[in-house]
Amino acid sequence: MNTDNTKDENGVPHELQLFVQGEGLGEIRLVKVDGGSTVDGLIEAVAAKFGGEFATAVAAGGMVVTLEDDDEELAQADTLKKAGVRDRSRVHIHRCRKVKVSVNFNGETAVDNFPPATTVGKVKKWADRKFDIDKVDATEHALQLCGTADRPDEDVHIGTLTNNHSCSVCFDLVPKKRVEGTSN
Amino acid sequence: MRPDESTFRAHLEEGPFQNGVDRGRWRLVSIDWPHAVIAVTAAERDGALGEYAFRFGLSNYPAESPTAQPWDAEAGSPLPLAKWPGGINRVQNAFNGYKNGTCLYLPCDRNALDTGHAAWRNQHPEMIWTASSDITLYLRIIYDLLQSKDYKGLRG
Repeated sequence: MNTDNTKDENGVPHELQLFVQGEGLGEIRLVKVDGGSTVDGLIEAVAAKFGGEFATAVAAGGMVVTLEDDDEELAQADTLKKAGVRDRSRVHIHRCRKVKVSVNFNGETAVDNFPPATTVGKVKKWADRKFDIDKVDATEHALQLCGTADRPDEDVHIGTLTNNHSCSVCFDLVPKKRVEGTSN
Repeated sequence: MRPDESTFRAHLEEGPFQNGVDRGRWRLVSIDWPHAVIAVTAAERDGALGEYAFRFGLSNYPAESPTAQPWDAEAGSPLPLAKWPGGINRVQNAFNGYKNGTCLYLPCDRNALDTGHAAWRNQHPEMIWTASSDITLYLRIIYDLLQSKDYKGLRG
């Protein structure tokens, strides 16, 4: 007898809370979906909740769902359970299959392509290696979107940072400065 | 419920804050409006606890930036200075006990960003609060400091 009222008789949770990122979503979104939903159903639920650029991209077609730091596309007809999506999973929804990432540091630029579900944290580690920044100094530098003062959280996916289906993101690797001034 | 409290509680349920909870970076301790206590995880250091609690003043949130001070969540009182986070460079300055220890020395803090620190808006734009900010702006800055090499443990 099933005594867990958060799951059905097949052990499928009634509701999943998912961390969703993707094209036009702007930031990490926490989305509640029915536990028996399909991957396609997830896309529809996110479009209905947030509308805007994400819904426009869905309507244009070609959206792909992947898990964080992965590039294997989830079959959209599959249930979330079959696709390996669990409660509090982190997923990405985007039209880009790869995002071209440029990182500028000390007059040099490193470039590579990453799946859109790649975290800023992972890109940062790549940049640290490319520019030969040791572990200690690495904690004193941050990725900042080119031409802005925006330093995305390390858990933000690079696909979330693309604009207008550009499939590219530019960062500057900048030092974290000490806050100074006159203390009264 | 007041609009500022309603908005704050809504932000606690949203992706950025919940992501930090899920990653073990911070956790909500209590809300007693217009204050909330949130504990932030610190890197392991000899003789120091694994987290520090901060009491945030949140009136008129998010139109106005919060202010925060280290807090003894059990005693319900300000944390003694000796038990504050200590260290060098960025950490030393941020936790310097500004204004008798009632706020952190950070551009995101409304009591620290006073007329004497107007230059911070240009020097540290990434830490400046805007009306579209949420509490994770402040929390991420604290978390980064407590995970940095500049953090050495208790101030002592």
